[in-house]
Amino acid sequence: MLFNSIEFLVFFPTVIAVYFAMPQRFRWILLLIASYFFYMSWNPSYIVLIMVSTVVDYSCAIGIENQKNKKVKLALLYLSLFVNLGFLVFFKYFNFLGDAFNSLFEPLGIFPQIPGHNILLPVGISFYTFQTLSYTIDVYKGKLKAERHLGYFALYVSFFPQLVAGPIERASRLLPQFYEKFEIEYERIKKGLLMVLWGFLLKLTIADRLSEYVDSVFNEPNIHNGLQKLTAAYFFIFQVYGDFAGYSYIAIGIALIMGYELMDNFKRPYLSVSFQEFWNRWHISLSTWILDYVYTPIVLSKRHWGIYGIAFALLVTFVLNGLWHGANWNFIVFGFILGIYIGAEFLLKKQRKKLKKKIGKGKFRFFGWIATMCLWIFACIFFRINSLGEVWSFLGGILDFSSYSTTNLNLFKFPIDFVISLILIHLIWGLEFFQEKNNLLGKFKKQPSIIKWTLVIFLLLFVIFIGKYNSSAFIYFQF
Amino acid sequence: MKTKFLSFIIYTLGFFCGIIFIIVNVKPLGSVARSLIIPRNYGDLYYQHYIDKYKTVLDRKIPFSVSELNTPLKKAGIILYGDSFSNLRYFKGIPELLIDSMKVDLHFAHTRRIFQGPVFPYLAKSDYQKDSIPKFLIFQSAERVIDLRLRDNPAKLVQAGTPNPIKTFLKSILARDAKRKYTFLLKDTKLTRPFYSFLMNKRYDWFGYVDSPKVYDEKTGMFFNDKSTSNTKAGFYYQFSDEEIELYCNHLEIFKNELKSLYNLDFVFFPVPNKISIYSHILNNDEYNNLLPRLYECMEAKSVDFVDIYNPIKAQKELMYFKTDTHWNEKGAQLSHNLLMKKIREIQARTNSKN
Repeated sequence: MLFNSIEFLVFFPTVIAVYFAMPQRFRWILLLIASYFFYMSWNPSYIVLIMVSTVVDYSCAIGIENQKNKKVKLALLYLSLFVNLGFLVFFKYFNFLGDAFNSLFEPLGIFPQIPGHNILLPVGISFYTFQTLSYTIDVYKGKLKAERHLGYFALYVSFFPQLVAGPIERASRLLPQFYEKFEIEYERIKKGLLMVLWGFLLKLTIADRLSEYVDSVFNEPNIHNGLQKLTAAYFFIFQVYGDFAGYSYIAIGIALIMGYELMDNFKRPYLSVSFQEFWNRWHISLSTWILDYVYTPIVLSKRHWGIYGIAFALLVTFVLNGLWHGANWNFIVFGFILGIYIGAEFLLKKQRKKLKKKIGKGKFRFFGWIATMCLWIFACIFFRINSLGEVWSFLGGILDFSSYSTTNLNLFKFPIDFVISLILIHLIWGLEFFQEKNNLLGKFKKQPSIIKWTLVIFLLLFVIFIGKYNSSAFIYFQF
Repeated sequence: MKTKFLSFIIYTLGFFCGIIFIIVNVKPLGSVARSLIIPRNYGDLYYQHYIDKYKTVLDRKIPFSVSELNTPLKKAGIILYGDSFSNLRYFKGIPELLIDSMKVDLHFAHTRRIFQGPVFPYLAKSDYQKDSIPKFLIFQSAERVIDLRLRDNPAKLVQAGTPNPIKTFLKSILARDAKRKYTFLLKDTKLTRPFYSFLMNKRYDWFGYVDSPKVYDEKTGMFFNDKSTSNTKAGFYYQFSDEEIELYCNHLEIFKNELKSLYNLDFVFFPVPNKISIYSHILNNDEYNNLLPRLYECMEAKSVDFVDIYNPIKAQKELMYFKTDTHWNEKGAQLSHNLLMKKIREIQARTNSKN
């Protein structure tokens, strides 16, 4: 069930009304049923995976907490990792690893032929797997008490607002909230609804509009000229932002309406002046997860390598980050490129400081922002391209300035969409800039109610009249 | 005050949404959902965009399948197994034209009705008995559902296994087409259609949006299903392999042989071309998968009787399909009926000469 579907528009108000009408002690039952229904509307049979993950992690965590024998604790942790990562590897990476293994031996004239499978990838598996993994690891490290209530734990694994595309929540934040009683509270619900509206604005007016252009170029790169390719690459960074940030805002908003606070997932990433800053603002729940459970352990284990240990950890971390997105070489290269960016930033720290002193903070930040955006566009080509084999001709096309032509630059079915797209993406960028600089939202809150409501109604009508209604799935669902 | 008002809104909205949720998802309440939906009297593609400019008023009568003209199977002199191309009664359709031409009682079975199922189980369930006088079974199928109708071996479908009681119970309780019903309820109730239509018309007037995955040609005002929705086997652009064509053809041969031996029925395959297959040139589209011509060739080789409608309709200068509907118009239906009658007479003459 997509947030931008009619089913959800009926499903959510129904759940909310029953939720607030229910006594607190029974609400978990409603939310669990709603979450399972939400997931099963996509594919009923895959709910079994979530149930198995839930039972295994619930049992393992209690076992880890109760056990005094370190070896048994470790064995239980491994059992949990094996089950969760086993599902992930089998459904998401098995074919990719099999192909890689087969092709590894091909030059030697050996053809092992590991067979692949055609089983559908369970939606959101990367998200809920990471969420459950962090829980068991935290219990093992003693950072978290094991949850004794199976119902609450099952809800933590499957909570429908963030089940299929995050934010990847931590048990220490989310689980205690399930014990709290939330009433209908005007200010909180208003804030939640505004976040939902903003999410729909990003998804329906920007992401779904740009997808038409981006898809037409990336799906048939050979028939498009350099300028069209460049425009598609430029549009894609806003499509992916509108899509994923849009989803995150809707998820956070609908959870907030019920009273639950989910972590921020995006903080105006396209204003970043460096890649280090970018990753503190983009897909924050994944970045912090990887920082805590991958990067830090590698840095600690390689601390004797000094600065190169950190660069190595960054590279490994980002390759894994890329691989998390999908079982394909282009995602690995995408991660590798990001690792190079951040690793280079880290190794050139002193030189960057000198440059900052030399040209001044303002110029340094401006050029840093330009460079970050250009490099992000470059990396995102690897993210979006259908296969790695196409990337060189795609990049070659962009660099072939002689092919540039403004004829047929507008590939939209409705020509006005080109202008609307350009205005919207730069308007959102500008709004984010002023929010960052002048706290636009804070100023908005101080306005008289009539102005605030007029603007909200305008935004709502804007989404209704300008939005695209093709109910396209969110990009991050595939991960 | 604000909180009380908000509570009122939440509970009221939740109550109505809850009712909609239940009537859509609980199968026995399907008739409640249907009763809320107001009739669709314009071309089926109009209901993809709701733009007044493209309305074509089609005076729909009672579908043939539920009309009094539809004779029970055992009493019928001819059986027509088909879909909406035969069942829509904007004008005198194929079943009525056949009754007029052949002066026989006709039984029409609608392929979309789940309880009727595929041909052989339907005949078996209805306890249809072999007659000494040969009759015709005309199998009409829209091109877009040929894969659906012919992908399974028809003879194997006769013996259905014992149904799983849990599955049967769930199927009887849970509605399967919730999304479709929600869409109808959003767009086609007395309360919602004016709003939806207003919104769609404004989007069209202000921005030129035709809000559907379908495409249209502004010059002719013709609508079609477009590539993005139709690149599947049930779609218009799917490139069928030779193996697939061969498979369909083999199954048609089984139809012919089994129907003759089990029921003494003469089988005639009557595939109706998609609108896009005929008018692809309007959209400058040269990607027609050539399904029908390839199938004709194969059927000819296997001596399966079929009606070639594609080539004669393609040759017509006049419009044979509605502009904002996927079905043929009266002229298209009349032409197809004439071709079908020609085929039937050909078979009759062949049978007589054998005797």
